[in-house]
Amino acid sequence: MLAKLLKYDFKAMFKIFLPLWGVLLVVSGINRLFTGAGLDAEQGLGLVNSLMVLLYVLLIVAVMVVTTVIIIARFYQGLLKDEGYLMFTIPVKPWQLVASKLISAVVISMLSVLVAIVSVLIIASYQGFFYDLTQVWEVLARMTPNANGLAILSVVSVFVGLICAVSQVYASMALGHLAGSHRVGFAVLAFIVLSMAWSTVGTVIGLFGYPDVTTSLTTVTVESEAAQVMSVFSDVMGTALIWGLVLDVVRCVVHLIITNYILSRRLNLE
Amino acid sequence: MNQDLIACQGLGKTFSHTKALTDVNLNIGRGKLVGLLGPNGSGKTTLIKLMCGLLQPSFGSLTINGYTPGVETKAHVSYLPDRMYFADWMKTRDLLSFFQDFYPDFDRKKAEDMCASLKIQPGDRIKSMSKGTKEKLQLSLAMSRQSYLYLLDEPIAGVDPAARDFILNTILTNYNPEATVLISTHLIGDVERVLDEVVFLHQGRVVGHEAVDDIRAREGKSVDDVFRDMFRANPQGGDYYAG
Repeated sequence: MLAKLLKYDFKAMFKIFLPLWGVLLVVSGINRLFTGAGLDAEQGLGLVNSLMVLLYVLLIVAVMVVTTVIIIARFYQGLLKDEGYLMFTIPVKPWQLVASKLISAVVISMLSVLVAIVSVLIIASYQGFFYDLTQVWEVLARMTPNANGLAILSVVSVFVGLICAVSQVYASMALGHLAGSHRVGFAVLAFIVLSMAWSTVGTVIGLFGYPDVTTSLTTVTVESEAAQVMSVFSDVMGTALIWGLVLDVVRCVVHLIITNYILSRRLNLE
Repeated sequence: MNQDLIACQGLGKTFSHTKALTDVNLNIGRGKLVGLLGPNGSGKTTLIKLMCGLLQPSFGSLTINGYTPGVETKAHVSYLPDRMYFADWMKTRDLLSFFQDFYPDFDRKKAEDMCASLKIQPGDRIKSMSKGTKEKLQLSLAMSRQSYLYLLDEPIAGVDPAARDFILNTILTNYNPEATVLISTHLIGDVERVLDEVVFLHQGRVVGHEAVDDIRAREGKSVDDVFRDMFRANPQGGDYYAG
């Protein structure tokens, strides 16, 4: 059933995002042509060129804004408003509805970021770009102990952080749903309260959880040998990433439990 | 399969401090056309929402075909809400596929035929249909399922008399004879001729549950008139039917 739910969620999302992504890539292509042709203001194309750059920047912003707005709207309109009358009377469990929204939101966000990266590459890449990129990475990897581990950890952290952010938005909307009226206002309030609560938890863990960070930072300033600095940097980064990751996983679980409880037991569509 | 299709025991629903339903004890059998009648705010929609699993009871118990409302009952209960549930992006074709994907008892051929008779094309965007067409489409989808229970919440409110006839005919000609149809309405005159039984709700309580023929024989007037007398007599409630 989850696969079927995903089919419709992706269909709805792609109807909006495929044209948007397409336009962004086409505009990057046009920008590339302008830069590549070496046209300048004297040839009378300066204005068009500037407008294209402006359009490109606006489109990048639009992709990010639309991604955020659609993720919120798909959950709010799709489950908590009139469409909920259909979604909550089909024979699926509420957690499957939430999972479908979450998975589609995370995949669409990642695709939006990927399209943005590709668009930058279209404009800025040059012959041998990827070779240079690997060179930079090799230098970094030589300097930093456990570079590969840190890189993988960073990617996982970003991924979990994304799930965490989306699930916090869902939990906030679910909490707002408990209010009889002004549900959007209460959802915003719930989001702020959740953010403050988690940042407090993070600070407390920071104080008691990994005291070696402070020691390490002292070491960094005292012994400024480059190799040692990088080794300490790697340790500190690793510890911080792992703690951050653990906290984010806990946050996701809490958000999803709240959301699932409210949608299963406390649902009250207007 | 002998037990009642719908069984409510001491069923109650409270919203913050408002009692929407209080101590509802109700058993409804199979193969019946039942009217759920009551003035606005008497709890009709709340009772239907409990039956289709959109709300959870605050007190008491409710079973449909022996199951607490959930995945098992949702697969076999066809629900028509009192509002539009369409997603903006969908075309008729998408919605038909959606029903086919999720409801095992959905008869797509039947739904397509009904759409054709309503002049709705598979490629039509639902968003651009008129309100009346949307309502008819929603009803056609609900009645294209071979369910054991149809919960129709105000299916004829807010439509013109011709559409009303279309809707009633659609209900009568399409439901499975083994199934029970529960129709909530305050427009009793229009549905009275098709009902087997009526349930009267008033201020969140069931104040009567009887066969339509029995009411007519005893009172010597139509259910519509009985209803008007019942709820006009005392705006505060109290001196109604059962009392």
